[in-house]
Amino acid sequence: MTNDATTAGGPLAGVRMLDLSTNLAGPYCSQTLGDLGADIVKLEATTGDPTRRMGPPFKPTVSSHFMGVNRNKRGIAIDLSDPRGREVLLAVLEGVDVFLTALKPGSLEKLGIGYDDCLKARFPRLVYCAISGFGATGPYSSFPGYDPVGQAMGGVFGLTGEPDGPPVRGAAPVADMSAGLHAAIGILAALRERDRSGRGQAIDIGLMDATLPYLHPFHLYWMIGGAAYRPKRTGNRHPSAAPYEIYPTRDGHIVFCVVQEHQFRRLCETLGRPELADDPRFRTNADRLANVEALTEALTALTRAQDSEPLTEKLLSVGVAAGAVLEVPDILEHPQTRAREMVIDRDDYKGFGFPLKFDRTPCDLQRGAPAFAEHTREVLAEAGLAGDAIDKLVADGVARDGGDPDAPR
Amino acid sequence: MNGTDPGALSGLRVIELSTNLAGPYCAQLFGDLGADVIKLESPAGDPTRNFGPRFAPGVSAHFMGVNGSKRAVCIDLSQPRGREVFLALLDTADVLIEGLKTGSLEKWGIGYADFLGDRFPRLVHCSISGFGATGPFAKFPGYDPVAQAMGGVYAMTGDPDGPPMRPAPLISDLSTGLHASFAIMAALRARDASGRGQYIDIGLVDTTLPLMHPFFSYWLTGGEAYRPKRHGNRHPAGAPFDIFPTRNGYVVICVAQEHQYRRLCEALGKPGLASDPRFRTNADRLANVDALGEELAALTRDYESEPLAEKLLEANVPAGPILEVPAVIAHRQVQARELILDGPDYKGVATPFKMSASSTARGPAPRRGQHSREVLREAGLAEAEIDALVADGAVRDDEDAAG
Repeated sequence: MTNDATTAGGPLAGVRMLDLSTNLAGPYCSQTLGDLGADIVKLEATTGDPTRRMGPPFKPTVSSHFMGVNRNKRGIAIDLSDPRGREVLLAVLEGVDVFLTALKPGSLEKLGIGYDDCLKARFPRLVYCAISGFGATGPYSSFPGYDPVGQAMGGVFGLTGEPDGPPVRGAAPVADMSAGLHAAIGILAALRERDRSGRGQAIDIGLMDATLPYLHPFHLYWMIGGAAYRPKRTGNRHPSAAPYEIYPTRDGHIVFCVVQEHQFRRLCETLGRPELADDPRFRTNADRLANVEALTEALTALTRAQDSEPLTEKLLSVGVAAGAVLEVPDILEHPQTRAREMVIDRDDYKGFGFPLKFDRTPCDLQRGAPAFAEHTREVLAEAGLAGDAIDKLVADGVARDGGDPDAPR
Repeated sequence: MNGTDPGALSGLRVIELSTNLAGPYCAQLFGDLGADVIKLESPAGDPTRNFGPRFAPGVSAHFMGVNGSKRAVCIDLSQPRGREVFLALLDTADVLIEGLKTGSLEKWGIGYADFLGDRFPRLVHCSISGFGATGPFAKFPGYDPVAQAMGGVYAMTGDPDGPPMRPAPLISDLSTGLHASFAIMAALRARDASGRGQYIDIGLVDTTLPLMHPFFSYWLTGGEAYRPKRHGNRHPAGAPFDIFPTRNGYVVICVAQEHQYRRLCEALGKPGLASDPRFRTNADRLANVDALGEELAALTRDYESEPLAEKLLEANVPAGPILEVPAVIAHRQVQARELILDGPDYKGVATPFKMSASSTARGPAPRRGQHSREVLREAGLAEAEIDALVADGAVRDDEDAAG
């Protein structure tokens, strides 16, 4: 690495965001920015982000669902259905660069604070990013967004599963996470453009929209290749390469994906049966595809005798793509996970670490996930409200300054 | 709502030295946002040029999807003169996206720490690898299925009483590309303040781990009682949350709140199911989830997927048809959002977000070496010099142009 000292604060120090989102896509977007040093204020309704109640440790306001994607943020709670609450929102917006929402399109407009009808003129430098189920336009724009729905309509749900079985939902919430990451990218792009032009702009993304890039390359098989290449479920097997599947081991499972001929030879050697590479049934990829059942049987007999992790290392060392199918507890203990500092296990925060390693402006855990309305007073004071004005808002229930969120209606 | 101003990243120059999926996808995003992206390929070219049905010479399905909005230059980096050209191009660049085997640049004496960081102090160098640049696995190459397996995705996908299942989408590669784009843009912002670039180290497995939210936190806070397990298409904490058969496929229904369950039963024409003692509360429904599934499947079977899902969405019940790829492309919402690019010069999925002022338009995917001469001329090389480099094979021309 270079000799320069690392710079505290992260690469996005100085960027300020007001985040009016709940659940996963928006919070993941703002956490990603917060991890890089941006100042994130999370604005919740008086009922709080619903994920505060989901999952262990079932403390009143900070569960694993909430904690996992709400670190490095301050939290305030305002009732936006009250006009005084909207005045507070506008006061806070004066001091931010970015406003993130994840609401049904039209929600802000109904409150008289839509981007086109209010925010753009009042805050010409504001970058406004709206995440929604299907985007701000089109016949589905009024429908709410959910990750499994985005995955279903975006086509990725239907790609996974046995050929003669039903679709199986992949464990990763790609619709939500892709929307969150694309939103973060759009926000940084807009900030850069603002440095040039002096003006902000609006970014519009739907969960379903964000899912479509994850169709690669299947959509192009269809668009270029037509009916002969119509994408279908293929189970654990790959339609055009073998062996490329999940195999049982003595202590779990392993995936190999052999895509080059010499890798198959090395695989057979490593598994202790080099002669398999010369078996006429398995000599080329085309042969192996034609005889895939026999291939699976032959390889399974070998993998069942080995433990996943040592076998993985042996295969990776000889250039064969192999990976132990690790469960979450195994991942947390894995030496590579530890070396990469990908687990944070502190009293005030537990979750995954920082995947982005910057050599000069590293990420940092500046704070854990906020308790409900923990920072309302601090943030409103920063926005210029006097102490007694804040007291009145709290007394009237327009703002909350702590305690438990109200029960949802 | 598509902007038409020059892309937000106009004025930036990106050199892409990567193949396959993660690096190219990251670079394509930069191109879509207006940066000048130059993809450097070896004489053999990016192997994905030949994977899948062919669109044009050296441009097949796997290549086109993530190599739009770029120019292509073909350089033989194993030759010293090829490396000189590489450095001349880096001199003009803001960003290097690099996905070579760990140690490759160092072998040639042009790694970030030992050379590039000092020679190009403003350069943002993002290195993408399977496991990152540090740790006992840093020396191993990266592959999407390996990252999904070791990142926990396979273990969590599939039926509880079946083996792990492989999600077909290339989740790790694509997520890495997105994370890399974001990281590079953040580093550029830091450079605006400090004048200095830096090195960013990204591993496929590392960027897969956030996708395992909330399972990490469940295990760390809840322990053995909350050991993450496969639950197929269901959700451990809510019902109904599953797929249901229809006349022409399946719908997914994911009810998370009580009033949604009531509306579901009404929309399906059997409001009595909401007050059925077996299914009255979420806890009841979880306890009787198989019976619930049977009752609902008996109703959903009478509908076609898309009309049923629309009916449910209109009633504020989270639901969606599980669409196959052709139906996704043809869907009127996808069409209304202009997400599918299907022209003579380019086919693919557009950048999914819209910017109200700035363009996010996709450009064509280049042939191998298509822009070698043009880019080298821009870098100040004389025609004779370029001819000599081509004659030596240090640089390759647009050899596939004839088709």
